[in-house]
Amino acid sequence: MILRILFIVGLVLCVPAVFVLDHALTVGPASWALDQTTFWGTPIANFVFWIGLAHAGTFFSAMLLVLNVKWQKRIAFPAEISTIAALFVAAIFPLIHLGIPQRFYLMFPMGLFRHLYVNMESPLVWDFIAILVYLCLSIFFLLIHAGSLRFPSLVAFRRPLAWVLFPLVLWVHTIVSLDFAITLIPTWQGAYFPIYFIVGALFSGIALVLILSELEGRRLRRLEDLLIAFSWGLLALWIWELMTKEIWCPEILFFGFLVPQLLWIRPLRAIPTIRVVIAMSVIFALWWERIKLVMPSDSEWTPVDYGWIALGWGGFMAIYFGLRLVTKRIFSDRIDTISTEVSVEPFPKKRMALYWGAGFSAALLFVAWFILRVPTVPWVRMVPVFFPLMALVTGFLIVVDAFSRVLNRRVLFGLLGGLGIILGIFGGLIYQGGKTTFDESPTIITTEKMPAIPRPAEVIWKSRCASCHGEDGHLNRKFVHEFYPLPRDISVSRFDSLGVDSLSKVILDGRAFMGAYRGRISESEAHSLIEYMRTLAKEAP
Amino acid sequence: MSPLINMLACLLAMLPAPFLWQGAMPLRLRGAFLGIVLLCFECFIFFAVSPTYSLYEILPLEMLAMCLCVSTLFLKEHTAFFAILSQCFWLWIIFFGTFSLSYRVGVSPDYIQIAMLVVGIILSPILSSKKQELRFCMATYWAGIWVLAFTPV
Repeated sequence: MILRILFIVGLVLCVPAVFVLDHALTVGPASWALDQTTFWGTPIANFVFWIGLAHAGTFFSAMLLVLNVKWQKRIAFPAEISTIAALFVAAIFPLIHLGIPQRFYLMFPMGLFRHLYVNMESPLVWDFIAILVYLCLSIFFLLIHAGSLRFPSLVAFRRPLAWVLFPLVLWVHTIVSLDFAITLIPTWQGAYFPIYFIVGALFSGIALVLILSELEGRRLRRLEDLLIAFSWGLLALWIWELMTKEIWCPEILFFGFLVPQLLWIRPLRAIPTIRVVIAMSVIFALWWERIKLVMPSDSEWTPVDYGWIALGWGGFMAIYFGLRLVTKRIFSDRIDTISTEVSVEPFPKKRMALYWGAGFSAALLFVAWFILRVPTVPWVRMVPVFFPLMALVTGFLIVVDAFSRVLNRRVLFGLLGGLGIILGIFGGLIYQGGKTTFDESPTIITTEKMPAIPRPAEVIWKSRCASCHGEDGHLNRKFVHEFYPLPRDISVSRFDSLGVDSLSKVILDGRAFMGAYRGRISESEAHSLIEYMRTLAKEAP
Repeated sequence: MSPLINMLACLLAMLPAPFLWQGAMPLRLRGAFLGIVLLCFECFIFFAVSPTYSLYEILPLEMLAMCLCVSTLFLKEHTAFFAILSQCFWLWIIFFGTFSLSYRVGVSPDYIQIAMLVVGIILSPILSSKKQELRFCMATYWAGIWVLAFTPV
């Protein structure tokens, strides 16, 4: 009954969330609070928070399975569903943040296809790939788990897949932490961020699973112990943050560390409501921590920012409780116990080595292909995408192997063929992409009067162009780190090949990610700007 | 950071290792103990090392990783498995720590240290045996990784 009520509550919360989403997509980033130092806002803070919560499922099902922890089977299935629900919710926020969600596909690592250089040095691209792979493998893992109830032979494939998911889940949050750690924002620069983010994510994930298990009337004392243990780990990292960056938020310490310590007191710990309240306090602390991290200066919140809360929780509750109701109806409560038994028959080591080897080779081939096409990318910067690609291929082979045991060959080949066609169509659409020429009416800034006398090109360059292309024409480093479509470096040969007319058109009418400057820069100024760029290109080392 | 402080950090990291998994301690208490150990490492680094040292931010975590590595030698079972996991944790800290530093201050990952840890991971199933001599070799090897990774900048 409670699951049904919470499912309805989730759907109700989705109603205002749809209006907020519509408003945010229409108005764009101006509709939500945006930090003026970091240029990031509440969508990214919520994204990091939900990705953290998504770690719970993999922690309880894959990591504890690998570590032979027996009690994990009592919570593994609901935790896996919570991962899928949290990942879907998390994926919405970066799309909103993009401002141009219809062009999300440009984050695919396409090399120099269509002359759009996807920046493999940017953690935003790594993020996209890692999360996509994580979502795919989490769905596979859940399918094998659910399928094992009908086909017990599938149980043998859970542990090999858990070995793929175990490092992958840590990899995902490490990459998310690099979104912050490698930027030029001083408070974000933390070489310890990967571990800090992982501990925070697991902490919030454990709190979420504790709430979900309490809602189903189950008490797991180990979860309470884990909550205390992780609170101490995070306390140590918060103190290190204070020592290195002088960042101190007492409210986070109160809700995230002091409140969980109440679990030491046995009579309090015995009350289910207290346990839930403590877990909620942890989730609130971690959410607030993400907000403070992404937006260090106090920005004024709009109704849209509050709407993200409804979107996040409404979406999560609708997906999670919806899936939980469906699975309970199909499998009854057996899914939480019987199917999670670990197979006594070990998976053949040779076959496992073959799958890992195939994954390694596929990832290596991709990296070699990309570096050959874009030799300027240092090979070490390809490492963050290397492992997710390897995990994807390895996980996919394990899943195909698993389902080849239980499905009819025709059905299996039909499924694989269907998947191939879908991927082919999707790949073709990505390859075709959108129009890269600017064919909309350019925005004319009417408030800004064009000067009668043309301004010096150097002044225009510094005020309009240097923020992305760099003062010396060799890219702004912040831009290179944080923005995925890297602008082209300027060179004399490139100037000669493009010609003044085409460059002038790009400046005035825009192209791909570059905005149009017609109305703000005159045609004669555009020509002098091109001459100035040529001098910069000549001065290149 | 001076070589003396570096060696003291190595010794300090090894100090709590025998007590980490000793006795039947509840999970919450063990977690709190680990947190306090990390806090002690942080305090040591904060007072003994200059913040200008390039690897300053990851030193306490490296100390914790080394402590976990050495602590596996006192385990009664699954020694090799947990030794491999602890070294992977150490590798993770070094690789991604220096990776983010490579963007910010141009520090490149210490490939020798990384290679030595990879060798350690490969050797763990052999060296983490019940024989005391081999366990001592493993502890010496980890101390060697720590000392050799020292860069006087």
